[in-house]
Amino acid sequence: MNLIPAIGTTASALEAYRTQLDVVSQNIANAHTTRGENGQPYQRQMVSFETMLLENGKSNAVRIPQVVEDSRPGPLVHQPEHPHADEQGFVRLTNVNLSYEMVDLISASRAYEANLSVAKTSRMMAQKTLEIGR
Amino acid sequence: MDAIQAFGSAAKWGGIDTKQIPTSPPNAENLQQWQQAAQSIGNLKPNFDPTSLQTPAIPEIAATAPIRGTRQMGTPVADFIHSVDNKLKEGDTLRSAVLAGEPVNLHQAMIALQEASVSFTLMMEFRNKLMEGYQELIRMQI
Repeated sequence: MNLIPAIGTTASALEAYRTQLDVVSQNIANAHTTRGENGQPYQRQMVSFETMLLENGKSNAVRIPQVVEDSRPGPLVHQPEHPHADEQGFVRLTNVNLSYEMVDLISASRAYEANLSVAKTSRMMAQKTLEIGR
Repeated sequence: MDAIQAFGSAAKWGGIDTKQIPTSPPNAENLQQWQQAAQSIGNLKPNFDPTSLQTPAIPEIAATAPIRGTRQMGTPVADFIHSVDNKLKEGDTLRSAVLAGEPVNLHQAMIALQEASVSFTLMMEFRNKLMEGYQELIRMQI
């Protein structure tokens, strides 16, 4: 029984943008992390979206197949007092750029909002359709 | 013929046990009763041939759901009520999971609850239509 139109697609998009928000929050939280579990500074994580066919074989939903790492190295700064500094006094910082992350954050939040509007509208359509009988 | 006789004969003609139709809207308690009522209404075999109602203007519907004269209505209705019930249960489970702090996505719970609410409304509309038809039958002059 599929009463609310397009709800499967919208649900998948909500899921995807939620994941993106998760990843962005991770990046912002680790914006100054100079030592990860592997001893290297934190590398920025990125998401990419791809379409996914729903069970009905017709609608194209969206999903995040994997979260990939931005492998570009972060800036090297001279900070001899830093505990993670090497023998020459240089520290490798993370490659997280806060302004990029803020842009991603806002775009994820707006996309989530847009999908919420779709969900709201499709529910309203279903309800209005049921009012034909009155 | 007085009103009670007329009522009795109309109900008998319809093959409906009027006691079986619950007076309150369907909920978890009287769902069984509702299913029985739907079953008994479904057992009704109308004299007219519904195939005459087929209109060539909507070929898609006619092709996917052929209307046959001997088809019983009870089983699809019971199935429908079951699926509405399942949706309500699913929404309930997800809501409890969210409240219990389990890692369930909030939007999944909300969507399940909305689906449950819409399908419940559809069931109520269906019930209203059934009752309307039944009332019409009762009011018929014999």
